[in-house]
Amino acid sequence: MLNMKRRNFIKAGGVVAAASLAGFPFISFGKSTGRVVIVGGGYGGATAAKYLRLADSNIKVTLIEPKTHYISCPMSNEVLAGERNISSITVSYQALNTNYGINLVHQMATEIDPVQKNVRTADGRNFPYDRLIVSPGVDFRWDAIAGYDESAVAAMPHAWNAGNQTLLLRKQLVAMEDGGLVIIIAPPNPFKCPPGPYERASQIAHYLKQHKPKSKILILDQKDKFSKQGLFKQGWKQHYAGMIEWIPASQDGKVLAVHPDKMMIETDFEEHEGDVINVIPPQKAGKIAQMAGLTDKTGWCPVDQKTFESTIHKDVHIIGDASIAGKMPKSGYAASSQAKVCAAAVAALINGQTVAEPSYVNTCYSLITPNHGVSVSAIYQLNDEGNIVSVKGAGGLSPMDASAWEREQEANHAHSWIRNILSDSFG
Amino acid sequence: MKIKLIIVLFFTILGFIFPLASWAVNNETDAANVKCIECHERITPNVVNDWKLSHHSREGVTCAHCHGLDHTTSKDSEEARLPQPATCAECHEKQVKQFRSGKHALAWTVMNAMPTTHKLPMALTKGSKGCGGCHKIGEKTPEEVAQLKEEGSGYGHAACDSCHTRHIFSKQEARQPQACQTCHMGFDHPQWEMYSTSKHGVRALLKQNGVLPETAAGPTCQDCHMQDGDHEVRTPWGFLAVRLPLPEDEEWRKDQITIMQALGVLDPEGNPTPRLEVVKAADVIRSTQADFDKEREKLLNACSNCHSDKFAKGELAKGDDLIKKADHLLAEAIRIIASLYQDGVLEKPESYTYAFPDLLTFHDAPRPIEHRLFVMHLEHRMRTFQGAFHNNPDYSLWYGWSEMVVDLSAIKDMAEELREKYEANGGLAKNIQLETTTSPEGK
Amino acid sequence: MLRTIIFSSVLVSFLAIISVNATERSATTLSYACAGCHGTAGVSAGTSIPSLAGLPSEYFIEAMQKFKNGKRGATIMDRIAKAYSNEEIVAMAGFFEQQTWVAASIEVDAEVVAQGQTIHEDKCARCHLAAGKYTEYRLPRIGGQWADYLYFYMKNAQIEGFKQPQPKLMKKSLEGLTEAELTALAQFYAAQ
Repeated sequence: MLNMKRRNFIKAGGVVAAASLAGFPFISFGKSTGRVVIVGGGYGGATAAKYLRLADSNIKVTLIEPKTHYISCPMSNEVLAGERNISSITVSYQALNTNYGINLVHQMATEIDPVQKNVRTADGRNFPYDRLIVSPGVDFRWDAIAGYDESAVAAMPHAWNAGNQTLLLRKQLVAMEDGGLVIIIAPPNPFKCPPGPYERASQIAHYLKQHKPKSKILILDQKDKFSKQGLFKQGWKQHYAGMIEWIPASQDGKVLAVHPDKMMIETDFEEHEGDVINVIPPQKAGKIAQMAGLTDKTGWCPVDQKTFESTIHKDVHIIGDASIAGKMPKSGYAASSQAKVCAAAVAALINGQTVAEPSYVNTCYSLITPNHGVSVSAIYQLNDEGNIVSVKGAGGLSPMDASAWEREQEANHAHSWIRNILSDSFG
Repeated sequence: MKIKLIIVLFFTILGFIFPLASWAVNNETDAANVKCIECHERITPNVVNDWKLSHHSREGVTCAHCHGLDHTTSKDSEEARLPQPATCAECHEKQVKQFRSGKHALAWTVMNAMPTTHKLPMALTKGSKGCGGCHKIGEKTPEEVAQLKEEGSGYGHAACDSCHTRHIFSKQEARQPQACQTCHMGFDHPQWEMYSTSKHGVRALLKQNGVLPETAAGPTCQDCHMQDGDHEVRTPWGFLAVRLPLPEDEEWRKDQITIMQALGVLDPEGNPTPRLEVVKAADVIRSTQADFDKEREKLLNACSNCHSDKFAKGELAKGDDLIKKADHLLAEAIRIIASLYQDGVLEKPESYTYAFPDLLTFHDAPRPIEHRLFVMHLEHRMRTFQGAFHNNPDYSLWYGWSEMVVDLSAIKDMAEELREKYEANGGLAKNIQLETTTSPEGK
Repeated sequence: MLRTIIFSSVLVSFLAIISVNATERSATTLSYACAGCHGTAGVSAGTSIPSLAGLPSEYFIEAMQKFKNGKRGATIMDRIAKAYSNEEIVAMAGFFEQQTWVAASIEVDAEVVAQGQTIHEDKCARCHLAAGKYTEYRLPRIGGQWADYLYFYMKNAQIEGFKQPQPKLMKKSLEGLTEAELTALAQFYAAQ
């Protein structure tokens, strides 16, 4: 029993957990009939659904998410390097239903009516709510780079939502000849997964070094500095000397236009032709948030950072990448942490309780090689002005100049982390 | 007797070689759920609190490491393992090894070797209310521990906790002279009284209460008897101040022989008895000159921290000389009583092996005259020489020597009276025995 | 049954969030934040990240304090622990102590496990009773803990200058063990 495989544990846990939901009425807050609808099943939405049911098993939770399986963006760069199969970061939503009694609706939410407090799905169904949690992730600003529209992604994949785009980019890398040039266009701030483009460059370099050692990677950055910059540059020098070139915005990294037909990129002073071009476009809050009028002029959603309730529409909470969450970065871990805070707040509000003081965390691992991991971490709290700020004197980056053994441990932690975050959010 | 004790010793040694059997747990799954502290914080809060203050708790040594995992509920407290030095040796190997080569380790065996022990109420012996309360410091074989449990002796059979009291097991505590106080006091070995009122002790205690600075000289018991924390505690003269080889001085030699005869290690003809072997094995006496010299050297080493070698040697020689003089008083008293047996004035008591006084029968001495001899030996002679070595003038003189002189004159008187009565009764010893069962004066 | 306990303990613990003074961060709020790395209710699914469920609070508090004060080396926990007050650490310790342990499930090589058992019995069994499953106070449970975590812990302990506070006896026991031996030990414990 104790040695059963973890997958079995999750399954077995589901049966018992469902039973316990029915069997432990004392844990509920009385005859609450709260209906919470959650739109979007990424790390944020899934975690919010699970932790809401943990907080109050009388709340009816409906998760609206078109896909039946979630593919994690974190660790998808390893798929590009051929170090990982995409199935290892693909999880079913089913456990959320089996283990926690969450109503799963695999449809696209097409309309939110914050006045009538109703969500409509593509198949025409209506989902009235007492409180709504929107976790829509990001949408791309298709108008930001000339030449890069939705039709361009076949030639120049963004691969910034894991799935087919990831596999396409991988295919292009595999097909590329030795000596080829891979160009990555890194987006301006804010965007989801700030170290992601640079981990991606590292992972692609790792692949190329083994299979196409004469190839090069060019990063055209739309900004002048980036997350974990020192650690990445140190790692690149150590493992990929001369292979990765990073051009900041101020040194002609700024992209004016892309030409998918010619596999060419225009900057102020130059034209770059690439064999594989990965365009990570500028971003804004997910489409449904825009449609529901939850965004402000920045394109992101302003919220009360204690409850994540929209400052625009009452009873609607926005979590994850789409929200303006103080100093927290846009990441899967941050979304999941915000989801827990939001779930507790929503449960309290539905039950007429005081919302507890929140605690948030974000830890982000990046893999420079399969055995070289670096991290950045922060613990957040709410300041007196109601803004999320990091706890001073804590968190921060992995040290520079650490030993290979320390980097190896961090790489292992990265791999352990993905297992935990997936099971914590979806299991 | 001899065979029985050899068996006891054999098992003692066996116990040393095979420390407590394996720590295998019957139900390993349950082991994960053993929560000693949770219950004992309620039942015996100070035990838990003491342990929390201990170095053990800081090092992750918890209840189960010493008491095993078998006792898990209030119903099975009998299953809790009670530690013996072998348990402690699993981590403190060096200290237990030293302890085992010193006198303390044999305290239990020695207690059991005394004929008197077996005549006393259990509460006073194995029940810790008497001899056992201190002699528990001796190591017991697993068989002895099992037997104690069976006999209902209860608890308190651990040894190391005599000085490192449970459950704090403090090194610091055991380094203080008070650690020795509970046992080294009172009737036959009032070292605490002698030491604490000697200048050695007074200064050490003044250091403790801060009157004298910490770095001032002021030796503790341990400074002389457990130098550098050496757990092997032994003294040159041993407990009874008899030793081999016998002294060269003719008179002293004879006196020591007489005392050894009264201790039953030599028979009335002066030949070794089985008890000598037991006493040697129990390390009660130093049986070679080298053995004596080694212990004396050790002590002189401690003295030399404060005193010149010449001074220290001179002081110890005074102690030796006092033993010689005290022995003469005691030997004379023994001989007086022995002659009463020889002349038929007194009948040989049934419990005696020989028609000769037996000091090891303690207070079970049959008549006041033999009892007076026992007191002279175990209380007063001990004080005479122990007082000298512990630098307590009053003890050597008034509680020791002076009392011995009084004892001797009382014994002479009593002997004379017995002889007169014997004559008056026409040489019938039996009648005398019945008439003289009044309690002895003085003590 | 075990799972019921896990689940209901999570639920019961969560109640604390409602009743707590709103200006203090509750044990549940604080501890839930750990789950992203350490698993829901402290039951880790990652091989190098330890499970915290059921750890004695004293061990947890000591470990966190030492991470926080720089007395225990780490790749990341030193940075994270600094964010929490002593009271918050105690609160989290209480939360995790109440959670139910679930043993790691890893594929193990029987031969390697057997080798690990020999080393365990020779060097570790005296303290890590019941194949490392016994846990109380400052003695952590290691039977059923993840192998990579245990391996890293032991390997780090061998590194000179690495701050790995541990009993003297343990330091001595680990001295000279090869990487293969450490792996075997870690596998043995993980298999429990």
